[in-house]
Amino acid sequence: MSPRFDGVTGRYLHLDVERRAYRVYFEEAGRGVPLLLQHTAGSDARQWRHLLEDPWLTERFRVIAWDLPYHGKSLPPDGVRWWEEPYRLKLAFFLEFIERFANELALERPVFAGCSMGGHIAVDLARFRPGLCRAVIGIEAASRTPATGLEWLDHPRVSNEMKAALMVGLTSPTSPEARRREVGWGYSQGAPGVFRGDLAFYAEEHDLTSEAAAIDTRRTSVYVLSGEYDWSATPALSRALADAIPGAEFVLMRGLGHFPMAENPEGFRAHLVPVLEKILARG
Amino acid sequence: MALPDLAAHAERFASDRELALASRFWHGALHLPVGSTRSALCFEPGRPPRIESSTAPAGARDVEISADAAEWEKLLAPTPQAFYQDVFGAALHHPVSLGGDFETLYAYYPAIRRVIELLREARR
Repeated sequence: MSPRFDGVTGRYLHLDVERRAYRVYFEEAGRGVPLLLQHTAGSDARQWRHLLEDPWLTERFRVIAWDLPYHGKSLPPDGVRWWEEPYRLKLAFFLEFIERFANELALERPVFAGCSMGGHIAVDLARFRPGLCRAVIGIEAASRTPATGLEWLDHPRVSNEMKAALMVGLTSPTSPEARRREVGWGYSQGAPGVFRGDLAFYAEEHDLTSEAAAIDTRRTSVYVLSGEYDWSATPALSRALADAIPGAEFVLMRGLGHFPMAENPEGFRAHLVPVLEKILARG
Repeated sequence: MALPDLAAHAERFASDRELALASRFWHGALHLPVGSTRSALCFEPGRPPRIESSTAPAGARDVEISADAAEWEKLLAPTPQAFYQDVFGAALHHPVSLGGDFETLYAYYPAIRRVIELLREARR
């Protein structure tokens, strides 16, 4: 009996960002238009495993999902005494990372899709790197998502179990339980300070309130998708973001939560595929 | 009746394996006041949770979820409306309050979520 491999391959890319050398893990599958996938804060590329195995997608797209440095299999870089300071994700680093990743792999006008902090950076890319991507899909994206109680997300007396439970609480009660629990499983595994550090970008630095209207959707088209049960980047916030961007499209995903691609891959696919078809049709 | 009678479901709380794991080492209580009626699940390491009707305020290792009867109905609906699926979401967007000791609230949030799920199950 021969081994049963799936179609996803994983490898490491050496990438210099802000004059530091990173060894970045990514997975890919398929051929066609590059489709870059950014995971949520405090998690990793495993959230995209269902899309990476989707035949419709992989027949049309080269689907690529990375672990951002400090996440999953992408270790902190050498040359940084990271154990002496709190990890904090910054907009400038995030933008440069994505641009360099795309350039290093010679990806021409990719499509970028990200969820939560990935959704936020999607619209930041459209604003601050116009034309780098032919389209961005901001899943659970908003202009601004301030949050309170962040100190409890990196607290010596509170374990990662809390993050798992909190994130399961952001999923939809109608999503399959095994998938919802898998979202929590991912969150139980990050280095303790990484989720909090990512939220420095998601909840503190990211603010397109006065910038969204300046996004040129002729250079990078923008789609904003929002799950009905997302109580963090709520549908109201996502809709307001899309309304503020001339030419952007908004899609409400009923019955889905903050992690649609992971908590209910089939339900998410029903909303994603029509968006990708539009992007392909535009060329 | 917004909240099920906790005492009638004591065995279910005591036998739930997920709750036992999530509440390990918790020496405190989860208070669930509805108007003037107060019920509490009291946790003690190595023992099944104890149900108490108490007028005592939340103590040092206690957590409290308070809401009126109509809000509890929404929290415990079989398929909750948006943001009632989670007490943090409900507290952010609806008139539901989280109180007591916040360190305990965060540390034992998995246990608290499980209690809410068991209450939903008891309502069915």
